[in-house]
Amino acid sequence: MSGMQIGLIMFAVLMVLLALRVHIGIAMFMIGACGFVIMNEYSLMPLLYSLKNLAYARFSNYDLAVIPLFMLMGQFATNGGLSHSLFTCVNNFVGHFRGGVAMAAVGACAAFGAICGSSLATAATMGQVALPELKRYNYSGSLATGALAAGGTLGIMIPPSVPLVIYAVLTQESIGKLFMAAIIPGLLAMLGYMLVIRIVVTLKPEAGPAGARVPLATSLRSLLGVTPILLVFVVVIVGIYDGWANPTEAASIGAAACGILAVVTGGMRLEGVVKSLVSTAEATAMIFLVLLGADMLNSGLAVTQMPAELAQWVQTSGLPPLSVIFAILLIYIFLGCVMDSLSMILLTIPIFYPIVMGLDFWGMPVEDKSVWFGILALMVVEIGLVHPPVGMNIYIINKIAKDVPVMETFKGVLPFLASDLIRTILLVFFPIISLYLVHTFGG
Amino acid sequence: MHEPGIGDEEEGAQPLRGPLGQGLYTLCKAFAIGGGLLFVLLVLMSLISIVGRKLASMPIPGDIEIMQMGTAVASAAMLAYCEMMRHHLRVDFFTAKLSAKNKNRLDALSHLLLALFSVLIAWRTTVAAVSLHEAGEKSMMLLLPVWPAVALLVPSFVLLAAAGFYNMSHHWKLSVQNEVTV
Repeated sequence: MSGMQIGLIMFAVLMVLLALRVHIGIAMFMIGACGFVIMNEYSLMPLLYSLKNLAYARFSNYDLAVIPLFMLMGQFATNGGLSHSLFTCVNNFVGHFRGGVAMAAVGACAAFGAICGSSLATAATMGQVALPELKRYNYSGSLATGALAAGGTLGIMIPPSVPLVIYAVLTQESIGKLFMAAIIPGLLAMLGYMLVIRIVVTLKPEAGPAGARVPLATSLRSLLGVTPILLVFVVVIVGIYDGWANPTEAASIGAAACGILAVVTGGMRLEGVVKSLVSTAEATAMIFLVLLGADMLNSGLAVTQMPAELAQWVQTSGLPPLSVIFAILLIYIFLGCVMDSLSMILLTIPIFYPIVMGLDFWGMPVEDKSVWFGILALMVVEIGLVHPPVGMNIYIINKIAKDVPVMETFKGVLPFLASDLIRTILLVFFPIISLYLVHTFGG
Repeated sequence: MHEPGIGDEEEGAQPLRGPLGQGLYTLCKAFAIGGGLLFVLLVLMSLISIVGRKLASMPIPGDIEIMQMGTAVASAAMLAYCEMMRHHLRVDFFTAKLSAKNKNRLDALSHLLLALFSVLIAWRTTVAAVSLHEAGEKSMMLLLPVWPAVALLVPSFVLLAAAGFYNMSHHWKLSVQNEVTV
């Protein structure tokens, strides 16, 4: 059997194991280990030898330390009630427009996403803060929950973003560059969602009435209140990009700053601290177990040479690059039906990345292509969070909303999905949207 | 991104545990909080190092090494708690319509696999720690011996295995009970 065949069989068996409820990390590990043994002529020794180092080598990776630190930062922000002041502030400015309270929810999600690298945490905390307000102003259940479920995805689209860290580690790309590149697409996503709300309330004015108008002085005072949060974001992102702090150090600064803010302005006490630590532990553990498995899977796949051969084949097949990239994006959307975003990135990037790098897209140099594809992948894996049947964000918001049937939320999220698709297509055809800041601020 | 404790309908509520399960749960949670506290210490170390470097050109020597060793130990310590809560990631889309009994059977199997994996990693990591100790391997900057950091991963994987075996027996018992009642 050729390595290519073994590689494809590995993937097929992996899918079966996943369907049978084997934990994603464990399934990846088993398949990777089997492939490794087969490619080493059925000798166990090379596997046992490489396993000696697996756990420590993976867990002591300096760049990966960013993940628990960003988790900690987001948890401090969540348990310190920072979401509340963010929502109030944005609402003071836009709440009096038609559909304004929903726009405020989306805007606050974006702001919260700037200090939190996780979609579900963003959706959950913002849902708790914004849903009661939306209800008070008689927003329709589908618009309220749809806006929040979609808004939650801004948590990973706006840096810091855990999937981008993983992408960076897998592809040796710079975390700072990727974060920089994600800013404009993230803001575009936010504006897109606001536009969707605007269109929905124009068609159905009763779905989103205007909120109360707030005196300018109050608005400005609330803006002052959230300035420290925005400052944290700027310090973290600029710190990383400018190079005076590496990503791990910047994440440390962010975690410390959010912790202090949570204690000082949010009144976080011991209970909140313990809750933050436990939640950080759980979120980190989920990711790190999959990371271990993915490491083994990638070693197994690498010895079969399957990724390289596949990339070679695609390159010489004469398939138009655009249809390849759209096929890849479609695969992500389908995978998103059954899998979480992180496992998708870990599973597919080792295969897709060499393929994309081997193709020509408008003569983009390799370093641009790699950033561009990272942002594209981020955008499409995030879509999986808001489309059926898995759509984690939908269930979270729906659980908080209680009185809205889940079908209403699915319906409510559809227009936002349309905006996601349009944005993804724009990002494919106009790489400059992702690359502009990267090109402008540095080599 | 999955976040703990939310959106996991079927396993959201913690089942009642016997004294063994409760003890294991407490130990896992202690490990998780310990891991979290270690990260808080690493954050402080990082801050001191950055400030020292910027203001006095005096970073903490070997701060990267300390961060690496600390991250490895702390993140491994977090694994078992997540298993105890049954929140490790998996795909449950294709089995959503299975009967509770069959689901419990599959879950018993998947937790067994997770436990065996942990045993394997614990064993190989122990071997690695022993051989690093024998070779006297030291870190590049601080010349600290590497083996203790590696060895500190072992208890976490042993605990992960214990949690996996516990969950396996839990699901297996449930699947047998169902057989009686159905």
